[in-house]
Amino acid sequence: MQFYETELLLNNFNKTQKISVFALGSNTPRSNFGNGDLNKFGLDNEGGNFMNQDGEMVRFSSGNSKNGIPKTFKAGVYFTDKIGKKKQTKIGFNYSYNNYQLNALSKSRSQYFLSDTSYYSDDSTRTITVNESHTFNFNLLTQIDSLTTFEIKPKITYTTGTSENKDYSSFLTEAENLSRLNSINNSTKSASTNVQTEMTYLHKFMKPRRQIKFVYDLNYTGNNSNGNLNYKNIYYNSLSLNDTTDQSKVNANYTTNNNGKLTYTEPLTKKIKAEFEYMYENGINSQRKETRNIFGTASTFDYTLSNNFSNIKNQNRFSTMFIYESRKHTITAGARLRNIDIVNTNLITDSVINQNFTNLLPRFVYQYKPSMTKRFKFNYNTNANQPSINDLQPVPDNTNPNKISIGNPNLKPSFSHSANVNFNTWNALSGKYLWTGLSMNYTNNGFGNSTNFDNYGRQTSQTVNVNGNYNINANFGSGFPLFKKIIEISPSFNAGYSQYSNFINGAKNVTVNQSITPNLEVEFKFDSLYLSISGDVSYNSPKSTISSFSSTPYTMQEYKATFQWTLPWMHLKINTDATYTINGQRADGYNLAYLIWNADISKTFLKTENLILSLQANDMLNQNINAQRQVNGNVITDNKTKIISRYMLLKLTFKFNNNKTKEEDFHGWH
Amino acid sequence: MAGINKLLILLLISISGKTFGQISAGKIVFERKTNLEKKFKDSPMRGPMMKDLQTTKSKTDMFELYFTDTCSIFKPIISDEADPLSWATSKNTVYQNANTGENLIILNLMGQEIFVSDSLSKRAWKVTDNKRTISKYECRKAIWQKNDSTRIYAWFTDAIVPSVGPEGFSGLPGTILGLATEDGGIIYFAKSVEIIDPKPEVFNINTKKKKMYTYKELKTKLEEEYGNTPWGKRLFSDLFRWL
Repeated sequence: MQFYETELLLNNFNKTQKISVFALGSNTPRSNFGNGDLNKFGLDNEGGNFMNQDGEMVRFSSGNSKNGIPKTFKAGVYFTDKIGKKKQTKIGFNYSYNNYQLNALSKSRSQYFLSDTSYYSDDSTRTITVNESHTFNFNLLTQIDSLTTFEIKPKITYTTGTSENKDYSSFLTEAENLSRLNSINNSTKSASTNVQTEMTYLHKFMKPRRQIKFVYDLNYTGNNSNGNLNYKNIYYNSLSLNDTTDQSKVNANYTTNNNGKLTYTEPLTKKIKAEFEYMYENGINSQRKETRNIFGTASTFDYTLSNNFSNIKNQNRFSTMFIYESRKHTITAGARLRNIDIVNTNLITDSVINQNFTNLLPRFVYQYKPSMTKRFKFNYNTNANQPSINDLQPVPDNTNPNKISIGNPNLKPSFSHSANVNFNTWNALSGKYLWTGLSMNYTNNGFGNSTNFDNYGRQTSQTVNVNGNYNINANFGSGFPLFKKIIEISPSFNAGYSQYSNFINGAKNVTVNQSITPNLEVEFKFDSLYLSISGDVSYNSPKSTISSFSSTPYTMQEYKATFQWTLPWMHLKINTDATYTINGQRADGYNLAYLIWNADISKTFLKTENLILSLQANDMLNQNINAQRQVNGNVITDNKTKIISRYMLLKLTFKFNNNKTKEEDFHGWH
Repeated sequence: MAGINKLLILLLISISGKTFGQISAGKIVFERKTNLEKKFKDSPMRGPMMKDLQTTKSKTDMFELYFTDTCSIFKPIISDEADPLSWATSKNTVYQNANTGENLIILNLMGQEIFVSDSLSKRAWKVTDNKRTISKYECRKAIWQKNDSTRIYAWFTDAIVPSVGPEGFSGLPGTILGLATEDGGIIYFAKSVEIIDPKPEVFNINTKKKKMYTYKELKTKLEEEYGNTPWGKRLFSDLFRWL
């Protein structure tokens, strides 16, 4: 197979105006620009980083190269400028086109544990997905006066996609005798439109630390899809029970959400300030699912697998927070009081499910920061989640006819408490650092599964409330530079303990999972040479009360070595790295050990070193595979997915700028 | 009556002698203004810092200088209030003793104290005729050519005798009441001058168990270990700005 990677990034500056044009095409795992280039060229909406509702930067992985073989093409243009007499208004506009395809072929073996018996299933799945999207982003930030800013960011996305999924499964008894075979073919075409706008108005008063902020969010999503399901079920021992299903499905889903938040901050003393906030949210959602059974050229409406729902949600939320800030200490204490009212109407049966919840959610944060490089933080938070409409509606979903899910209208919302403690410190002169943390989470009325299995391995499941789900996680990391920082030793570890419950054929099953992963890295940093050797071993021990046979610990080991050598007088750079992964204690055929060895050599030309020729070889030993083990209550699944393995690339890169100087790569903090 | 009058006049003369004669001990409070835009103009960290910088273009820090005719100590006044931009400027302490020849500088590297003990540096000052009044004292301007590209301006007054000033600057025939970099990015201005006898405890610095570096030793160590990183180079220019 021929592999290719092409990238084009162009910037044009004209006083305060900046235009960037980009294009990327590849069928290798490199489906996005490097972070350095995203930063340098200002492609803020192309990266994997975005700010979520709590104002934190979150990263989401670009591309699913670990889940199959991808093919990417994206192109677009960014424009920013400053307008106004005093250049106090920043405007920006961008358009991006993205075409993403994924071809995934995977095999898995699952073992199902019931109280008196167990059975197996072997699955082979092939999925081909194609997604095409057009995105328009516009943003305006203006400084109305020295104390007031206004910002608005509308965004429109239009996406179309097709997905073809073929799955072949064989079900085996405990003695590994074949009981039945089935094949599932799903093909779907979908189109969706999303319009979002976020508007922020911030006014600071003459009195320091007094301010008022208003944020308005509008979010509309419309999604239409239609598809076909073809399902064949063959019983090995009794041909008369064979059945075939041929269905066409149409889904139409529309959501409009309006959210307005007003926050007022008032300083009470030199170190204490109070924050008051009121939020109102209104959401309207309609979901229509139509399933028809096809018999030759005729088709009939299937009432048991169709529905038409609409729901209207209104939320009122008040919150108060007191914040004490001094040079070394920060204390935040407050609570949110909210009322959520949801009316769910089934438009086919005319029945209505009403939900109304009122929650009080307290919150507390304490931070002690004696210097810029030492910090201790304690955080306590509460959260309540409502069951989703898919958990509530009493209509089965048979997208996978072996696993049918039904709704539960009696679900109560969940309430969780979480607490975490963190400490980190760094000594600037010696370079030593340490970070450690402990986090705990406890949920009441959590959402768990209640599953019933029949003799042929088919399951029907429903979401129910369970109490007593909790998890604890501890982590630790450190670095010790030695010998004038030429050698650095970094030990770290991560450990977790979790307990959660579900129901199997009516009986409660409690799964406890313990895991510990220690890691050690040793680095050697010389002027033109860099060497790093690291190893980590992960030990996982899941135990389920339902069956002692399901409790087998499993391990994963990963050893890595990286070597980099720069020869500046020859304008040459050599990089190579090798990772050896060993999966242990899994099902036969899934105890994979593989060594991935990559290398590349590059040489720069021209006085400015802006012309680079490089030869890159990935996975030279052709062993790359994605292998995972998942434990879900009473089911253990081992999975392997075919992903891109050995390929070589010859690359020519030309970085040009107007200044005839060396174009430096942006390395961020380092 | 005449006797008391003579006593009063004598007292008056001795008091005025102290007020209008030469000052050799006291406490000066300096206000330092740092232009953050100029300071972080070339830093690649400017992007993430933009949010803080948008609202605060200049940062003010306060310092106090206690001096007698033999020793002086220049230290930052740290308030207990929250300071979200505390990382943006440096706050060093300088102790000088003319009798022992001690010149002790406590550099603040990201919250960690580094003790530098060196000899008093001799700077070649060029005194000009430029005059201005700072905190009610008439000062003259002097220029120090630090290197090819940087000049430091100082305004000193001969009404206050000791050769002291902010950041341990000395070598002028009087106390420095104003100090600035050529581009005006960092400016020290005396806000108040108190003529007092500083208590000896004010000059105490705990040097027990603290590793002492000379300026050369510290520079070599930092260059060896951090010289290769782009932020290391910027670290030196900030740390050694006044040395």
